[in-house]
Amino acid sequence: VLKGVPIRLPQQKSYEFHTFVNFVSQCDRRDELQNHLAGKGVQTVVHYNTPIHLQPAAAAMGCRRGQFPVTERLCETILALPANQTLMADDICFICREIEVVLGRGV
Amino acid sequence: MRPIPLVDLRAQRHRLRDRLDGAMLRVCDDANFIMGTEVTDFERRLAEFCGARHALACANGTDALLLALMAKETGPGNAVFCPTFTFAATAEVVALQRATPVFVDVLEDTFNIDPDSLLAAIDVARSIDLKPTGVIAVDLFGQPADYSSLGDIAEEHGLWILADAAQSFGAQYRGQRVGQLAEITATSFFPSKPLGCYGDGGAILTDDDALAECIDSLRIHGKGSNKYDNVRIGVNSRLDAIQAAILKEKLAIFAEELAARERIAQRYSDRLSDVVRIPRISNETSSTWAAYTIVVDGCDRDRMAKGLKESGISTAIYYPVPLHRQTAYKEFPRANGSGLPQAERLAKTVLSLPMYPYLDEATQDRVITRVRELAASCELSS
Repeated sequence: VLKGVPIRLPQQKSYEFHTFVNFVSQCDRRDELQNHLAGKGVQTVVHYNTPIHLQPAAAAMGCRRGQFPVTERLCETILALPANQTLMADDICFICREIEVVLGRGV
Repeated sequence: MRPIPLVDLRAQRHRLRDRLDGAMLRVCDDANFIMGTEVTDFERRLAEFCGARHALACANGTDALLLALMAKETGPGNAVFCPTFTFAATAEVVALQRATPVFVDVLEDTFNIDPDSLLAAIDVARSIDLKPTGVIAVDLFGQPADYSSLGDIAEEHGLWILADAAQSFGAQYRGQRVGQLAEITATSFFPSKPLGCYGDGGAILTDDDALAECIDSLRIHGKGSNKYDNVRIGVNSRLDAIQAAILKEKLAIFAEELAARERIAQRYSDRLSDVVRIPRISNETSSTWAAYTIVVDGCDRDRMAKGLKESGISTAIYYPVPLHRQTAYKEFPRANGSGLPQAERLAKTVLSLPMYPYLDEATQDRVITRVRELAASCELSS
């Protein structure tokens, strides 16, 4: 349903079987998308906003911003979408429509 | 003859069945299983019951002690004084923090930490370049330790006092409830405790706002403004909502159960004092009677335990080996190099008898009669 929408969804390779305990998407306008979905009653979560090496508890280890660029970038772009065995097809369509409202659809 | 258990949890279950079932189902229906309003509501009631300013629930009594030590920043080079006649958790948490447990003897009559032995232990710690830091006062079998003498020593030597109240929540000392007797108090809701849940549970009680805030963070991975903001190294130690819901129901009848325990203990003492040594409760304290423990020194304790078992009466030995004689702890320092004589003697002579608020008089009389018979016969043959 999200084909063409500028959001990156988890890919499952032919030899993998995922539990999708979290269905983690990535997009550039993450905070805007999360706020919009919250306004529509769709709960999403960010696991995790702050990587361990930038937590205050890790300060003594002398870590710095930029040290782990992929992790730091992911913390700004990831958003876990609702994904559980009780979700109905209509729910999924509704969530996808609202995602498209924010992010649009490419040509 | 019907067997007599040491603790009969089913008697209380029978009394509270509908209320407990309702409480547990409420949590399942709410589907809020970790922390949440059940836990905060229970914490508020627990604090009200004992008069402490803060109550913080956690996963078990051992974690309650550990969190207290973490909040006090106990670490390498620190000497923490513990009675040797106690359960391993008391000293285990000290060693886990890489501090040094220094073992102290107990008083023969109350089973609690001996202030004179504590003074000797402080000297021992200094002599091996450890910094005397704190005392873990255990309220053994439910009777508060001598907090007045301990307080004087703590003040003189700059020590904090952590009350290990795993067995004594609900007891009093000089008109104050456990929870107000020390800077920090740790308690346990292990099922057989006077106030127990249906699994593991514990709590920390304190009047100190800063300590409470620190412990609240420590118990949830060192959280700051939320659990994904980690401001210190913490642990994962929370009370399940379902246990909090159970504990709320049990707390509602706890004062009544404490009165029943007192009545039963008094009855044992009235009827056994001439044949065995009965527990001495100082006139400044009340006990929760987590255990009713006699000292069998006129005859063979193990033979008495065996005789009671043959009559279907369960007993327990709390504790058969003092900590300074345990494999894991024997290398740690102690107040007296040659040994801690009271604890070693008690380990060979104590015997805990069936004790729970629903022990009826006829059943208790069976225990009393058998103890009297065995005391007479063991004496002759030993």
